[in-house]
Amino acid sequence: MMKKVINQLSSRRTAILLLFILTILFVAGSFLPQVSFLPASRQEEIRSEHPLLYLLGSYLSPARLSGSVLFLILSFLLFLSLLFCTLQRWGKEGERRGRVPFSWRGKWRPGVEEEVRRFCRRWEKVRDGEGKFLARRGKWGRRGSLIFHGGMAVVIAGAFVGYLSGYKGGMVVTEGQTLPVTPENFVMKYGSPLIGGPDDIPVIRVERVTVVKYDEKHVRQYRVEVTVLDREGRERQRDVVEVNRPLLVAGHRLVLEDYGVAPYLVIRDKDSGRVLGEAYYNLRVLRKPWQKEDPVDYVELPGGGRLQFRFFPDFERRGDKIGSRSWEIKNPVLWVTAGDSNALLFPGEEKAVGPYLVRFGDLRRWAFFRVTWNPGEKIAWFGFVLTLMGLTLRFFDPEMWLLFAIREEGEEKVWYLGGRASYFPQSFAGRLGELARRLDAEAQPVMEGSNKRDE
Amino acid sequence: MNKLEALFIWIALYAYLPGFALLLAARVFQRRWEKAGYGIIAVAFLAHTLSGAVRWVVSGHPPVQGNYENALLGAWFLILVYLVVGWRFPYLRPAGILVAPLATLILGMGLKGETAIAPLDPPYQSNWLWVHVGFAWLAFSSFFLAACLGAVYLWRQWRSASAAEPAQDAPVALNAGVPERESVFAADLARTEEIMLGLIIFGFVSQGFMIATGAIWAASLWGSYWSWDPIETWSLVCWLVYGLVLHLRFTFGWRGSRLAVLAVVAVLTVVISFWGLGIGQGVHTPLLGF
Repeated sequence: MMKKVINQLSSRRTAILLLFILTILFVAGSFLPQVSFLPASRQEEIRSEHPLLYLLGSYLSPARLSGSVLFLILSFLLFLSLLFCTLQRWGKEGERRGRVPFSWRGKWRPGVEEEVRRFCRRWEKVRDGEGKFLARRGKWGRRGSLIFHGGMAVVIAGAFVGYLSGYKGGMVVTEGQTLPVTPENFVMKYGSPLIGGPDDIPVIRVERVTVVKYDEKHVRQYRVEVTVLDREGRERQRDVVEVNRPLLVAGHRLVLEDYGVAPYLVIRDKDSGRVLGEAYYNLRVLRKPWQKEDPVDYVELPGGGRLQFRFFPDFERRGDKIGSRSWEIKNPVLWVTAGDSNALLFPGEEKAVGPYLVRFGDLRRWAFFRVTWNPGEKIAWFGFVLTLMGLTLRFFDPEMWLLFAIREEGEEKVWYLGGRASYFPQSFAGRLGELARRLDAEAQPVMEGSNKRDE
Repeated sequence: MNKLEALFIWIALYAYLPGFALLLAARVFQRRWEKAGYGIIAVAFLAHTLSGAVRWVVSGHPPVQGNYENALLGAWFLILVYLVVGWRFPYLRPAGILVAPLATLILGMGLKGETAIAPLDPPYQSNWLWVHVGFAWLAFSSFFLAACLGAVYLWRQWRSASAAEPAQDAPVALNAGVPERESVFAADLARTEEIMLGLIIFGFVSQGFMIATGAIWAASLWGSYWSWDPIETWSLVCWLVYGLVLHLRFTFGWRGSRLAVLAVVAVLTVVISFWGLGIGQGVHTPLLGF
């Protein structure tokens, strides 16, 4: 039974069938709403307009499917299939499959054998005798095929290790704030380690968030100065995180994904003076210059109230319209709304907005880091290297066979020459044909069957 | 767009047309105009290269950002692969009948969008980008040219019903070489099939490198080497489909017209990967607006 299962798993048909099923699933899933990559507002829109599509996308879009039990089973079977295919064929890569037929014949003359031997001087001589030999090249090509398939199995193994013991998430850190890089501080989290976890938890403090520009319109780089501390608060390192330049610390990778502003607000009840909120509020929406659409940030307050904010980095009033001249924080203004009541707040101002008193203190920036801890990553990279190495070997050292023999036929001494190539037989035939012409081969090629006793 | 750059790109666009016309006329009227058609396409390619070079110098970065730059580079790679194959195997030059209009179409689609030169956005500021995009275009161009040769193969076989598929391990004949001056339509179908297969293999290896270098770039841009976004998914699908084509060829012995049909059909995955998902619009974007 076990042998039957292993035989089934090590068959190429099983591997191709599994790949085919996975391909079909991913093709179908890629046309569904990519729920994992959509902002909450767009998700909500699709959910109300196309509930069935949204439901299907929640389970079958590739990002979601890749975390499902079905995918895990299929990819585990593929892993086993690749592994068994590789192991079963390892060590047998030099075996010859099928015959090498003779194709040319000619009258023997001195130097014929030497010329053929020169043609394949670097080839491995599988059988070598006087006046007869079988040579081949492409051993590395066949090994490359095994390395390639083994490499893919290693990539899948790395992905499994990452899935079982890694995690991903996102954390927001405001300028001056110090936070340990742990899933408890993540605002979004994907997966939690089922086995193991990081021993060393770094603590980061964001010192400064800056936007470097080419000109008024174009951003050159987003830059965050970070200090990494140990658990006791001792400084470990200082670094700058930019887009495409992640912070690598204690096995964690912190990638800068977003930034925004955080006004310091004190919100009090107008009648009782009770403080309802006092903090740096991280606003998600940085208004573009004279933006037409109207996205807002809001905060839910104790007692069921809600305050809405519109932030203008470079405030400007044109008649009865208000807007922002640029993205630069040159003249920051916060427009606060509570029901029908609203107020414009400059830094340092306090105003009544509906039933609340709102004070706008200073202004800082926040940075959003995508955090990854993936112990399987190195395994996957190793698999990638093996895969590419195997792929290159596979196709750049293709397999070729050459058979040569000298025979006595009656009074005559004749030579026979034949060859076989699995990848490019016509090109090989061209090269072999040129050699045969140099050896004064007979005009008509030899028919198959004439060499059976030599095989 | 810079004036000089615009001048060169329009020269290229207008020159691809007579190149295509001469190659087509050579087939229709059975005249020896193939060399001239190929030469004109080479001249157009020179103008195309100059246009890209001017844009590179003015913008300070290789043309890899946005729809237009992707079209500019994509069409350039397509013609480059065609010229190299046509130079090495002159009897395959008539494939330009399909390649030249395809390159013109790609450029036209790019010109429809924003062509203004912009500095490189932060996500694109990675040395891995050039490697990733380079391998991507090598792969896509090879697959496109393989599909064109597949179409030529099928057309030729349809014209000549007597053409037989070569059998595996057939004894190789003395006259197996292809006459250099012969056109593809009269040349050995088996040789055309081999070059088509060679292009698929070259594209498959290049795409393997494209996926790996993209994963390295993704790790520093998004934090993980694979996120299953639609472009990544379709790149993998495309690679798997071509892997399947190679398995069908080498493991199950699919040859001749079956391989040609596969080459033509499989290129749809490239079309969807690139134009279906709108790579040029952002680093990676969702499919069908979702």
